[in-house]
Amino acid sequence: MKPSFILPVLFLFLVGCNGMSDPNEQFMVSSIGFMRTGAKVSAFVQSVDVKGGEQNGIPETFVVKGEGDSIENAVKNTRSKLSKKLSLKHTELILISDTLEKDDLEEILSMSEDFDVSLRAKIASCNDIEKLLKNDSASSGLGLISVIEQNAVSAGFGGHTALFEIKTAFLLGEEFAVTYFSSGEEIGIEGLYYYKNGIPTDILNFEESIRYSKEKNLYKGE
Amino acid sequence: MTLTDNRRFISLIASVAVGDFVLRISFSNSITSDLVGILSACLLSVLAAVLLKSALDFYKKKSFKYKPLCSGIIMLSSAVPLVWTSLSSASNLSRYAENVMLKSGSSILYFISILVLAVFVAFQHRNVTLKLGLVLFPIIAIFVLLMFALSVQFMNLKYIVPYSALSVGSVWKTFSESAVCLFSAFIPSLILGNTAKKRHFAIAFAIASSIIIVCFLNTALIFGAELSSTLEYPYSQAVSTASFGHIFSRMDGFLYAVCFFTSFLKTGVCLLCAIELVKRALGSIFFQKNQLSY
Amino acid sequence: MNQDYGRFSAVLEENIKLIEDIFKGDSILRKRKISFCSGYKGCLFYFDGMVNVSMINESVVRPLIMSKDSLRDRPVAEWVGYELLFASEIVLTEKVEDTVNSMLYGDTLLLLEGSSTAITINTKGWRTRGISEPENERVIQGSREGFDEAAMFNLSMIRRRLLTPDFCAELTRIGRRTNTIVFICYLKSLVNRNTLRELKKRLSKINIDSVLDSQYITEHIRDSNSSVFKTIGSTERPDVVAARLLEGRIALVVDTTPVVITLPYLFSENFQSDEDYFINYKLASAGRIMRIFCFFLAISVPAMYVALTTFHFEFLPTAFALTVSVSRSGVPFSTLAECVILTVIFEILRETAIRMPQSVGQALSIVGGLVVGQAAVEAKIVSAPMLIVVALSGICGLMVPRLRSAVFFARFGILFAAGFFGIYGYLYSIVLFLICVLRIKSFGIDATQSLNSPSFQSFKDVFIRTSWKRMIKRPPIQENDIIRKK
Repeated sequence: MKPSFILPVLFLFLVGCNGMSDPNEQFMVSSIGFMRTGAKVSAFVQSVDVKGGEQNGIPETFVVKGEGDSIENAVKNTRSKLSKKLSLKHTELILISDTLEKDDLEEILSMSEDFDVSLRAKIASCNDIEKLLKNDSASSGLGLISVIEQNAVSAGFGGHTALFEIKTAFLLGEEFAVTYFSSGEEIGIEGLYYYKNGIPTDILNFEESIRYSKEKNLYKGE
Repeated sequence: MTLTDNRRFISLIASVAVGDFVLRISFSNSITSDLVGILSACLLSVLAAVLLKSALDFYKKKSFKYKPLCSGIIMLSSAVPLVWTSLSSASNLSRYAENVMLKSGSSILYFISILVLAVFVAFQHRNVTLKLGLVLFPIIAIFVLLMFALSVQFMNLKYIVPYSALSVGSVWKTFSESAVCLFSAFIPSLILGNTAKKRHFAIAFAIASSIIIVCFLNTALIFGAELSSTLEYPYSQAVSTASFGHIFSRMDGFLYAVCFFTSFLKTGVCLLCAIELVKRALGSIFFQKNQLSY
Repeated sequence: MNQDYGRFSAVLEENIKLIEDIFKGDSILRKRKISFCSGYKGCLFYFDGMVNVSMINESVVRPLIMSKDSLRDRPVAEWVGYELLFASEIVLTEKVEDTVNSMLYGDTLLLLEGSSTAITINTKGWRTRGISEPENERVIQGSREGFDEAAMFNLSMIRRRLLTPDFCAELTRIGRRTNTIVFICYLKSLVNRNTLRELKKRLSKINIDSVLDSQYITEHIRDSNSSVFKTIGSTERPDVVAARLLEGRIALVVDTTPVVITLPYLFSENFQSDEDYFINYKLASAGRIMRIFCFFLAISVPAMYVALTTFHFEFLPTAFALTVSVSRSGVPFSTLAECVILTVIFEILRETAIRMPQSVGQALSIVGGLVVGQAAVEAKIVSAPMLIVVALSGICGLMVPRLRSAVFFARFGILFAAGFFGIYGYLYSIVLFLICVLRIKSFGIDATQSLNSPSFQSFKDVFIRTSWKRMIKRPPIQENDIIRKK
């Protein structure tokens, strides 16, 4: 083989990449949620229990909880409980409780950049995140996401759902509203949770949510 | 059969003109200023390309004779910005590779590997590089348009309408960044386009301008000016919102291909032209042949 | 071994001894002394098995013995050769070397008393395989003829398709000991003279002992021996050779091998199938596009899979990512190692399938499939998605048999690049591969010359095969007569 061909190949191998990882060494998070109780912040990560089998054709999920005094520490605590590397690259849903502060939200948004969370990941709000995630038995958090999407069609309203929309609103200091899950036994949507200047302000009921969606042109249903 | 076919020329020059713009694109807080800056740079590049070609044709017709030493110096000084452009493009690509594509590598080694491949290309016959441009450019164009089309669902016209106040500083910043990208393709176009006509020059730069504008709008309409100005690689982030069905849930791979091909072509072509100019310059200076001919 | 044996003398016995000395120890040389026309003596030499014995009896022996003619005022050899023998082709020569070469090729030598001129008579009659369809170039529609090992017979098959005096076959011999006959065939009005000149120059430089197959010549004359791409075509079909000659190419018909060499060779020919031109052009186009796509899949799929699962896991859809994650749990090898192992096993199976006897073929295929497929996955030695990826890549590679070598090396090269450096490595190696393809030359002609002047006309027989009505121009291998259809 000619040296002129070998040289580019040799140089390529000089790059010496060390970032290899195996898929089964990663804990794939389908949904992640954050909740504040006083000075304590809890982080919940949901993943599909691939070994647990399926119920009614839907894979089982399991939830791991971690606690700390900040978002970062809560996530670190969660990581320490896992035997695998935490991977948020497949996270499709971020749940925020109405008890989180503006600083917490900012921290979540910057953390999403560090962990390469997709900018299309959906954001929703809920009161009792642990209960909601444990009740969600569909794989990859798609159960909750499909609820959000179906609701947008059936109920006639939709909020700012994508992560990048929330980021933009935060930067501009604009208001935004995210889908709010009810805290009952069954999974359902209660309305939209309205945030002003990054601070959770009010829960809008169905009629108010529909009006808000139309006003902000957020309804993407039929 | 001419070695430089015009379609190949257009493809290659358009790729070089786009170059590493997709990596360097940056925003200010005023989207209107950014848009004005980019559009001005695009328009000026098309006009300047046509004017340069006209000037060159005039020079050929009048058969200007330079002294060999003088022509050698002109060619050497033309080679310097080409080398600089090539190194700068390789550096941008290697930084992008380190920060986004493959975070565990080192940018220095990416830089060296890209340069080695570019040198390999530069020492091939120019025919090979022209064909490489012809093969890669349609892929680049298709991917850019595809990613634009697939991220339409996330776009919001409110980010560019209504118009915000023009800021001269922002206009100049965006204009200069776009102009650097586009104008860096002038010298390669003059060297490689000896059989091309003025309209081919105009078409090449017009196509490059269109792609640049599409990339700009893709980012601006999804994120708006404020968010875009905080992101390091805004176009890269904008494209990651696109998806196509369940299989292609993230289109970043296509973006990596676009970034790699455009930056690499720019690096390789600029090096190729620089080497050619240096060869001719040395011929002029040491062998007293007037080689200042394009 | 071309040796100068000198010339014949007028004494029959001396000439007989000369021939016997040259072929001393050779048990298949036959000698038949003959007397004819009341006093004239002669001697026949031929190689048993190389000649048609009944032709010798009917064309040479019978006319000589039955003849009652008498020598007129002309040399003996001329009288016998032109007036007595019933042969279609005779050569009169005084050079011993010429007669030796002729005898070695199946001619019969007739020596005459009182004449230093010998007569060689064309009595070739060795047995050949006969016309059969080439194993590796089967078609559903089209001619089923294939070459065999006799160059003259192969030439006749080509000539039957090119009924024009423009067709030319120049003879040359290559190989010091084998003196293998090679015919350089071309159409005089279409051939590229530069290519022809270059070919003759390269052939004259071959200084090898033997040429037993066309591959010996191929490796001597190709542009770059280190390239994994074909730069010289080969075929066993006479219709393909005729078609290539009509495009201005040159064919080398080598004796004792059914494989005919054609050059120059364009890269797009790797994706052509022999029956592309015999079936509906839309179907042919679809097949061609599929072959190009399969080639891309063959070299890319394993690399992309390894890159995505090792470095860019986020690009995989979540459901598929979970499947991969589950399937890989318990597998002891890394993704790259797994892929390399499975690819090597696939190549071993493929080679074995070609070489093994047909009687055990089926059983072995089942065992191979069961062992590798079922058992290895269940034992968690390999994962099921990887098996599918490697199988897909392997099958796609079989769609382009002419690029077997390129697929083999490119697949591993790109795989290692992607396995160590993810998508960056994949893109880097693809660009490098593309550059290597674009710089291929075949006898001074760009192998990717359709990209030199890209237009619909130049691509009409590259990515697709348009209808014959629209194929107006030949590929621009030569500049003489580029218009095919008026």
